[in-house]
Formats: sequence, C-alpha cells, structure tokens
Amino acid sequence: MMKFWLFLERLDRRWIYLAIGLSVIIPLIFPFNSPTTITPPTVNLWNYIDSLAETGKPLMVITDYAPSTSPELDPMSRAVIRHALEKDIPIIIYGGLYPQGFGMSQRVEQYVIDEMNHKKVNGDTIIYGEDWVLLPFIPGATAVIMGMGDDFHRTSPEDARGNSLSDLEVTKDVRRLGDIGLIVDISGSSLPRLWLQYATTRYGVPVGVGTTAVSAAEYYAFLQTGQFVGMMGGMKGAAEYEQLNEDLIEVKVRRVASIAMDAQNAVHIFIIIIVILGNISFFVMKKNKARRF
Amino acid sequence: MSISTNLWVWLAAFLTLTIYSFLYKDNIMYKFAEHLFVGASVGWSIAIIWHLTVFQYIIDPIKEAVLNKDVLGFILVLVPTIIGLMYFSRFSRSKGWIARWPIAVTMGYYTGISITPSIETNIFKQVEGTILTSFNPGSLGSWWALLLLVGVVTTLFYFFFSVKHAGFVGRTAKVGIWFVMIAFGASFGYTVMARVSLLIGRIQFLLHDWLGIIK
Repeated sequence: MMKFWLFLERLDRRWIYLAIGLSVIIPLIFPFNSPTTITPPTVNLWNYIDSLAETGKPLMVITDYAPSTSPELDPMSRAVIRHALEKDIPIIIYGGLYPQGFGMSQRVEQYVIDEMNHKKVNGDTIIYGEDWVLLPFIPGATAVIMGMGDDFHRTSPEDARGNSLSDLEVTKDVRRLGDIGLIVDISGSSLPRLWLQYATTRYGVPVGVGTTAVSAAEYYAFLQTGQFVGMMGGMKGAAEYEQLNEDLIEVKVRRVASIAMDAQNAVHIFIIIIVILGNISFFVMKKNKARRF
Repeated sequence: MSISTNLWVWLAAFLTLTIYSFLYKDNIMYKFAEHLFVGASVGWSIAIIWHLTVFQYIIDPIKEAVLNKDVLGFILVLVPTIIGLMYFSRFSRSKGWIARWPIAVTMGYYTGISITPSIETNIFKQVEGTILTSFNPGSLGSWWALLLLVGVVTTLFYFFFSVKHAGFVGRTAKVGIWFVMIAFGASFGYTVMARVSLLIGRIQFLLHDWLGIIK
C-alpha cells in the first residue's frame, strides 16, 4: 500500500492534465445526458424576463465580457436572447462598458438572429429595429449608466449601425433607463454591481445577472436581499436556462451549456477523487516520515 | 465527421493547441502564441480607443464645433481633453507633478458620484437583508436567516482587531473563522468549475467547430 501512496506523491502532474483532458473529451464524444436540476435563481430570472411580454417594455441584454470568459457566458447570452425573441419581447443588445463586450454582442447577435430567422424562414422573421437593436460601445463606464438614466437618446444617439434611436421601434420610447423593463448584465467581472449601484439604486431599474462561476459566490449576497431579480451562475446556470427554454417554450436548438455539463460532472468527480487521494497520501507520507526519524 | 474548411478556424485551433502545449513543457510554439496574443490585444485596444474614443469624442466634435463656430461646444470638449492630456506629464521628471491634477479630478468625480449609491447598495441593503426577517420556527427559511445572522455577527467579530481575541470574543471569532473558511471553500469550488468550463469551451471548439466530431 505504501508503494501506492509513494507513487501518488511522485506522480508527474502532466498525467493529471492528461486525465482531466480525457475526462472532458470522452463525455463530449459519448454523452451520458446527465439531468439538469433547475435552481431558484435561474427560475426567478426566467420568470421575470417572461413577464416582460405582458408589459411590452424592452429587455436590455448586456454582454459585459471578453473572449476569455465566453465559454461560460456566450450560452447565457444566447439563451436569454432566444427566450426574449420567442416571446416577442423587444431587446436592446449592448456590449457594455468596455470595448471587448461590443465584439461579443455582435457575435451573439449574429448567431441567434441567423438561427431564429433560419427556423422561421416561412413565418415571421426577426427584423432589426422592430425586434432588437444593437448599441455601440460608448466610453465612460459609470458616466454612461448615469447618462442613460437621465437621457438615453443623448447618451447613445445612434445604434451600432448608424440609425437614430428615435427612428427605431424598439428604442423610440426609451427616453431614459427607467423605460427599460429589465437589465440582464452578463459579465465575468464586478460590473453587475456597478449596474446595481446606479441603474437599480439610483434609477430603480431591476437588474438580473449572468456570471461566471468564479463571481457567482459573491453575487448570492445580492440575490438574498432581492437586489438582483435572478442569476445564472456559471455553465450550470446557462444549462438551466437552456433547459427552461426547452421545457417551457419549446426552444429546440443545440444546447451548448447542457452538452458541456456531462464533461463538467466527469471532471468534478475526478477532481474530488484526486483531492481526497492527495490528502490521504499527504498524511500517510507525513506519518511515515515521522516514524523514520 | 466534417473538418472545417475555414482558414480562421484552423488558425484558432492551431493557436489553442500551441497554448495547451505548455502543459507538457515550455516551448517555442507556446512563446510564439503568447507573444502573438499580447501583441494582437494591445494593437486591437489602441485601434479601438483611437477610433471609438479619440476620434468620436474629441477630434470629430472639435471639428464640428469649429465648423459651426460653436464656442461653448468647443470649450466643453477642449477642457476635459487638456485635463486628460495632463496625464502624459508623468513622462517628464520636472513636470510630473501636473499629473496630480487629472488624478484629483477623476478621484473627486468618482468618489463624489459613488458614495451614496455604494453605501446604499453594499451596506444598507445588505444589513437590511441580514436583520429584517420575521422568525417563524416552522419555516426552514427562518432557520437559514438565523444562520446567516450568526455568520455575519461572528465573522464581524473575527475582523474586529481592536480587542484581544480571547475569552468570549476569541470563541466567537473562532466560529467566524469557520464561516469564512466555508465561504472560501464554496468560492474555490466555483472557481474550479469556472476554469473547467473554459477548458470545455476550447475542447468543444476543437471537436465541434474544427474537427466536426461532435454535434
């Protein structure tokens, strides 16, 4: 038995990298379709967005992230935009407070709109200006939120395609941030707190959040107080939202996050096993060394 | 299986593999991809800031103000631009002190603007969420609320350094450490999940977009 613990202690870390790589690749090629348990923060966000269909107020989806966090956050953005478009909720897609987000918003926009229009080729197609609008990057961070809160059209007079916001169906009545039904900030940084601080506290606009798993723990405190209306946390949150879309409004598309959850589960099990074995090995070897001296 | 015919997908796959080659050992291909990434990121950022900020918010408005003979518009753009340019005085040893002015303006603006909403969002609402719960012994939520209250109070005790951590204070602070450790554990677990998600995202790209092995 001692040989086994000694082997573990001296194991080259590259074997662990390989094992983690295989734990990801094998479930992706041979999925075992692990069930997705849906948690209240995701349901609350889904329900809030769904309720906007009755109010007619637009939903603002902010892609406040860069390519480094897109595997977790892209599926969230796509799922939220799909949901809103399926329910005819007008959407304002905004790249957020830093320039990288604009590229992400363009990518997500193109992907979902192409997908929706392809699906609805003989029915209602999704039309720019009537169903969604894409805002450009505006430098200024906090000043942008406050500017939008006071006068939306003055802060962003034109959309990303050079049209006046006053001429577009989605934005013509959005004179200030308060005319927006809900802001969903999808971000891997602390920016959702900034939106909360200014959009919610100052202008009373509800905010929901989609965030990376790293930031999720921090945001539970704001969910508990009801400051965020709901949250998607990490790839699991995105998978939950995809599941809700499929179960409740029959959105049948490739569920990127749900597919990934098999690999996620496999790696988690592997990590739990190596953490336990690593700890046992540490204590056994420590005891063994103490005996020898 | 349908391998991509898109050159950009092949380039992205090549760069992904070169970056992951570091896991085996440091090598020249990894160094190449790393430097390419840094160079491309900086170049992209400069181009974006130049076109979307400098041109759009300084050069174009100044041109417009000059053409329309709009003196107020001209001043409203010129003054913040000069304040911003003062940052560059840091490159001179004798004139470096000028950079304190734009720093003072920025600090003053952001501090003034954020004090009220920051306190309201991060302190008042959080304290309210901790104490304003009507206790009902039959409800599980009430017990969670009580646990939350105990967690907040004991953790505050742990971070209270004006009194020696001995006796009642020491014992309460020890309970606080347990709460802090559990919070760190939850946070670390989430961090592992996030890092694994990034790996999954790249592998999905390689298997789906590049090699077409998975649907």
